Amino acid sequence: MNNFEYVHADGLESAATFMAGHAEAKFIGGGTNLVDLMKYNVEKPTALVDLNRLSLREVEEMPDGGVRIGALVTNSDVAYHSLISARYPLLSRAILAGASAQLRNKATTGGNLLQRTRCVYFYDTAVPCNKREPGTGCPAKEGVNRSLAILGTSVACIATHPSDMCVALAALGATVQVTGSKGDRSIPFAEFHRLPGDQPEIDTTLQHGEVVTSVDLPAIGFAGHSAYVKVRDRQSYAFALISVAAGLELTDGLITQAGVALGGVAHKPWRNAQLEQELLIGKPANRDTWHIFQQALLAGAHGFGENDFKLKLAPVTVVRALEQAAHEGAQA
Amino acid sequence: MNTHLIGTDVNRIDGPAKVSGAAKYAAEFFAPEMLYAVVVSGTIAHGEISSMDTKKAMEVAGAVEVFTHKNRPHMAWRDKSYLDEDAPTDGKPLRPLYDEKILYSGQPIALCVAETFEAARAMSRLIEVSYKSLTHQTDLAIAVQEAKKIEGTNRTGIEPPPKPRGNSARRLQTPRSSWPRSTTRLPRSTTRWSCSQPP
Amino acid sequence: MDLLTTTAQKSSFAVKTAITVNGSLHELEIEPWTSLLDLLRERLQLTGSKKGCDHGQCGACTVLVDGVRVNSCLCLAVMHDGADVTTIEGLGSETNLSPMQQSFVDHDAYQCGYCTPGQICSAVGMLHEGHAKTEDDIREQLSGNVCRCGAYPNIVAAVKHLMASGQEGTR
Repeated sequence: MNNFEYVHADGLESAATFMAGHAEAKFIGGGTNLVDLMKYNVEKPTALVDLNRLSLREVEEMPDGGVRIGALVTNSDVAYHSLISARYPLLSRAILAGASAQLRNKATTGGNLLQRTRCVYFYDTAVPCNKREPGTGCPAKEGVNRSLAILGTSVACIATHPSDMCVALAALGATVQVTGSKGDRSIPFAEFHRLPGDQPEIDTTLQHGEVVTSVDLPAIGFAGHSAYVKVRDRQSYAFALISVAAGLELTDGLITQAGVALGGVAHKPWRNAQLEQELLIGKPANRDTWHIFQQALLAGAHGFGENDFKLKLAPVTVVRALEQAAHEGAQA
Repeated sequence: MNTHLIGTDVNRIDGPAKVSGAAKYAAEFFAPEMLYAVVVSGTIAHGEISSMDTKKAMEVAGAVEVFTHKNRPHMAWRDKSYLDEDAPTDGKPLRPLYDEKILYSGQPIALCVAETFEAARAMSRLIEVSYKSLTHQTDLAIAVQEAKKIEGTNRTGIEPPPKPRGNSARRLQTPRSSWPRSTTRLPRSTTRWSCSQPP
Repeated sequence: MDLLTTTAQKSSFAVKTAITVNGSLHELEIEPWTSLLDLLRERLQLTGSKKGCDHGQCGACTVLVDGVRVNSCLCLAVMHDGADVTTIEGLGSETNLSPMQQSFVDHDAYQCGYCTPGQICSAVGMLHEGHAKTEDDIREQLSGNVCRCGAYPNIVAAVKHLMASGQEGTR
C-alpha cells in the first residue's frame, strides 16, 4: 500500500472541488474492495475522500411509487430493510447471495456498483493486464479464465463484473443518481457499467469526481414472481460462475412485465430489454418460452477454454431462474 | 485400547485462553525497539536476478534495512547442513536470499525491515528487480516423465514406511453392512465420528 | 473543519482519531494507511483479533464496530473516529468468560484456536442481527469465518446452544 492523504467530505460540493484538483484521488465508502486493492498495489490513490459523513443513509419511498436507496446504505441494511424484502425480494436475495455477513455489513450501495473485477491477472501486479495497465496485454484469454466472460468481451479484456446486487438492479431496471461539479445526472442502470471495448480500464460511465448519491428502484418490484439463481463453486461466500436474476409479472399465465439479467458472464450485468419485449412479453410462462428466450439472449456467447462450461451452464440457469420465478415466486 | 475419549467433548486446558484472545501465537510477542519485516517474492518461475534497486525502499520513513542475496548474513552452503530427520534426502533445502538464482515462482528475494509494519509493507512495493528468465515447466504431466525414482533411503535411524496390507478397493465393493464394525460403545453421539475399524 | 483548508494545512498525513476500544478511549495520531486490525494488534497490543489473510477472506480479524461485525483488516483506522470497537478481549477475559466464549469451551469448538476470536465476535454479531433461525442459517451466516482445522460442527453446536438459550453471547 502506498502513502496517501485522507480527508473527510463534509458536503458534496467540497468533495467535488477537492476531486477536481486531485486526478489520482478516490472516494471511499465501505472500502471493502478499495482497501483490498490498495493492499495489492492495484489501486494507488494519492488521496482518499471519505464520504461517510454525508447523509446518504436513507431508504425511502418515492412519489412515483419507487424506492430510493441512499448510496451509503450498507448491503446488509438494504437486504433486510422491510421495504426492500417485501417489495423487491429479488434484490434482497441477490445481496444475501454475495460476500459474507461481515463484508455486507461494511460494503455500501454505491461502492457495490463500483467494485472491480476479481480476474486474477487484474490482481497480480507482476503480470500484464489491460484493465490495470492499459496496453500491456491480456493473458487471461489463453490462461486462467474459469470465472471470466463469455459475452461482450473484447480483444483487450474478458473480465467479469463480480457483483450479485448489480445483477438484480439490472433486472429491476434501477436508476443511478449521481452528482458532480457539472451538476446532477440520472443514469439508467443498463448504461452505468460499460463493456470493455478498447478501454477496459474504464468500468463505468461515472466521471472523475462524480459521486453516486442513490440507487432508485422503479415501482414494479416483481414481488410476486422473482428468483435469483446463483451457481458457484461452494454454497456460500463465493463469486458467481453464473447468476441469473429473473422477475416476472403474470396475468392469466401470460407475461406482462419481465426483467432478466445475468451475472458472471460479462463486464457488466447482461440484460437485453428488447429481447424481453419481443420474446417474453405477451407469451405464456412456460419452458418453451424460456428456451426460445435464452437462445436469443445468449447468442454469440463464446468461451476461452477454462470457461467453456459456462456456454452450457448459462442456458440452463436462465431457464431454471425463469421457471422458478414463474412457479415459486417470492419463496424461490 | 482406551477409546472412551472418542466422541467426547473435552475441555482443553488452553480453552479459556484461546476463546478470550489471551493465547499468544508466534507474531504476538512484543519487545522493546522491535522491528517489522515484509518479504518480497520473486515474480518469475525460473532464472536469475540480474539487478535489484533498493534505494527507493530505503527512502520510506522508518526504513531500517533491505536484505537481499547481496547483503544477507552468512549461511551454510552445503545442503547437508540443512538436513534434519524429516528432510527429504534429495533436492535442495529452502535457503532464502541465498543467491541470485530463481528456482520457483514466489521465491523470497528480499526482506524489508522497518520500524513499523506499514513502513515495511510500503518498502516492499518499491524494490525494483530485473530478471534474466529461463524456461520453466509447470505441467506436472510433462515434468513427471523427466522425474527420477528414488531408490531406498539414506536417512539413518528412520524406519521405511510399512508395506501396504489389506485390499481397500475390494472391501469398498462389498455392501457397507458387511464391513467390520466397532464393538466399542461410544459415550456420545456417534454420528459425529465415523468409526469403521475395529479397535 | 472544511475539507480544503484541512488539505492545505496538513504537514504530515497523520490524522487525529479518537477510538473507544473495549470501553477505553484512545486519542491517537494515525497514519491513514493503518488498518484497524494493525492498530489493534500492533499499536494497542490487543492481539486477540487475528491476522489471517489480511484481505477480508478468512474472518479471523472480525471485531464489533458499534455492535456490528466487520473485517477489521479492511477498515482504515482513521475512518473510525468516534467509533466504539469491541474485540474478543472486550467480550470476556480468561477468568470471566462471556456466555459465547464459555459455549465455545464447552463444545470444544476449535483446535488451534487461531480463528476462534473471529468466530466468536462474528457469532455474537450474528445473534445481535437476529436473522439466523436454523442450523443452516448459522452455517450461512458464519460463512465469512474460515476454520482451517475444520471445527465447524462444534462451532455450529456452540452457537446453536447459545441461540437456543436466548442469550446474546455478551455479558
